[in-house]
Amino acid sequence: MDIKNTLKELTSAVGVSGKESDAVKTAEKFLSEFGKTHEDVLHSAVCEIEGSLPGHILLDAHIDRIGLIVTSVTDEGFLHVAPCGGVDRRTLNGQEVTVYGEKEVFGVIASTPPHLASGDNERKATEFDDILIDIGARNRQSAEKLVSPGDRAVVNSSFLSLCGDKVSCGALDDRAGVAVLLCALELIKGKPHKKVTTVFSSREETSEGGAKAAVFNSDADELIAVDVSFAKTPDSKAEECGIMGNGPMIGVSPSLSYEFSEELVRVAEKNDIPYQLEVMGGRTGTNLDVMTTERGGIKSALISIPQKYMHTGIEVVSVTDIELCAKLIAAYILGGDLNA
Amino acid sequence: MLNELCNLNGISGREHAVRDYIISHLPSDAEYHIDPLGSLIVYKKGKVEPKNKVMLDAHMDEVGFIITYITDDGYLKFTTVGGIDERVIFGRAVKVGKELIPGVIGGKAIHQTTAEEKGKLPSVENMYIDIGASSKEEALSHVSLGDAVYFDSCYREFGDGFIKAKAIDDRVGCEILLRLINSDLPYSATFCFSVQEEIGTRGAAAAAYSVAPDFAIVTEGTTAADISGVPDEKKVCRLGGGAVVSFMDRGTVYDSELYKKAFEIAEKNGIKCQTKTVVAGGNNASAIHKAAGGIKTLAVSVPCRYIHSGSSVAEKEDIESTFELVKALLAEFSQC
Repeated sequence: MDIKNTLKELTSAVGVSGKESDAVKTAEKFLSEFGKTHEDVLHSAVCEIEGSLPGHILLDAHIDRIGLIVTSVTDEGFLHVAPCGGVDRRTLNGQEVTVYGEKEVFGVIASTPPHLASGDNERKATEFDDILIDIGARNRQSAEKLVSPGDRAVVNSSFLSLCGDKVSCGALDDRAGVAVLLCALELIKGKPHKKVTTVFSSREETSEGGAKAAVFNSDADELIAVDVSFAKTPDSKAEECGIMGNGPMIGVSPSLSYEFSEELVRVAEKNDIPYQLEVMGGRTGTNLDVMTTERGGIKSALISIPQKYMHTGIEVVSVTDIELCAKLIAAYILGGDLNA
Repeated sequence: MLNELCNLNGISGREHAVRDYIISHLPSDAEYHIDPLGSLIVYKKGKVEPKNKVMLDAHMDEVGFIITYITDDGYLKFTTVGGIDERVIFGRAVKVGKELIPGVIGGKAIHQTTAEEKGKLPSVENMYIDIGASSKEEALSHVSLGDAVYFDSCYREFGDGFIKAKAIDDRVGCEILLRLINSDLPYSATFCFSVQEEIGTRGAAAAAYSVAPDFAIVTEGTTAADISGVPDEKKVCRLGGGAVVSFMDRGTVYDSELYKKAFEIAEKNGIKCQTKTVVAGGNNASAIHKAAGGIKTLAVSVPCRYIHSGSSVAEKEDIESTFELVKALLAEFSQC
């Protein structure tokens, strides 16, 4: 699988939380190569691959992305918005966006010139209540022909190939995780393994609802979720970050199965897969927070892809990390040996 | 033409590409030379010689960034060239260096910020450009100190007759001047495509001395804050309101006779024209009006939202109004 091209295609789909259909369609196209795929009630994509060995593992990565949701239109034809997920509002002023209304509508997020800022709000990030999208409409009537409350919008971003194996784009949280699972499914294809259900879940960024519903509908007895986590940047604390390029971050947390985490470490070492530990004190901030307790509880592990600039239009990941995450998951599913 | 002009890259001091483009679009009967600072001075003969020598000015340079340092782990430190608000820098994709390689300007994730950091932008000195390099050596194989950095943005039209681009300030002025040069002029005139406006109106200061006109018309893009929620008196000017003629900005108190004349001429010719309701911004008029023993100077501008960002917005009708007013004032000042 060409990871970079897959990421490019996955990130070119929109799929803002609660309106994931185009991203689900794109993911299903890849997923259906591995097994029977369907879209569930909350619009997660689910693929079941029967196994020849006992056991049933659920793999999860979320398909939705953060974005904006139009709340109202002003008399002058600007759009008020609310965040749909944890958008970093420091990055919004002057950004180009696409509003998904009747059709795709180009806009720019208004940015009040600095001369209107008084001394004490210098460098102040605009509050969401004051964020406006300018779609070049002369008035309300003109804007309302194109856009309605509830329409989603995203900051436009190009898929950029940076130096080495790094890529940048919006929506890599968590399309990078989707790519990891597709890559893992390819690595186990044709080899004996247990039953594998893969869920590309909806609504992680808003309620984690898609994953909760999907795990309820499954009778899997173990679960691995793949999401992005923080990679070290010059301004962040080393103890809060993984290192980009150093491989999968294996989660260790009281809310996860410690035995499962230890097993993943053993599998990584046995297969010479570099890894790093991501230690958390409780909740993980991922789908697992709602999945692990569902339907009587399920033994769970978290594998994270180091990512920079999360929840912006310029998220960065390393293709090598994605490949290494996939290898670790595949090796685990294959009973601990990637070359089994 | 405006499309191509805006997409060209040229921070202050690196205006070559813009200058080359303009030269390649000059008519054969225009005379030109490049002054010691790099400004392009064009003389075009009209039907008759004017009573007064008039110079029209537009600056070629745009705001952007310049690489100042490369860290051991391969991040690029930079400073701004011209005034750019941190809010339109953070979270942006940029094009870096001679190869225009992609880079991004980000910081630690919003989840990792303190309560105070969450609502505040890092200062430019605390920002960095990430080109994906893992070491200083890797970064140095692609970029050098002193390399220019540009917003990654292309011209596009949208909405009810609007345009979006980087560098509308002041490629729109360049475009208006080029259109005039390529038209039949009633009076001979001098056109100055100046360098280094964004770092303190330096090119125009030198060129105004050399040209020493009787009158100067600065053609610009100026800030418009006509967005919902901004009180009317703070909107400065508005898109759709036509050419902007200001009585005073941060660099110039304009000649009141000329200011009055501009509105008279606009009304006489049915050209939409508005003033600025806030004393804000500045342009080459500040350098020109006090050069060469004093030059009667007026600025005529296109209102522009989100100026000095990668995504400035203007309205096509206003560009036409500005073109028409500059043309009418050139004729007026030539003979008054």
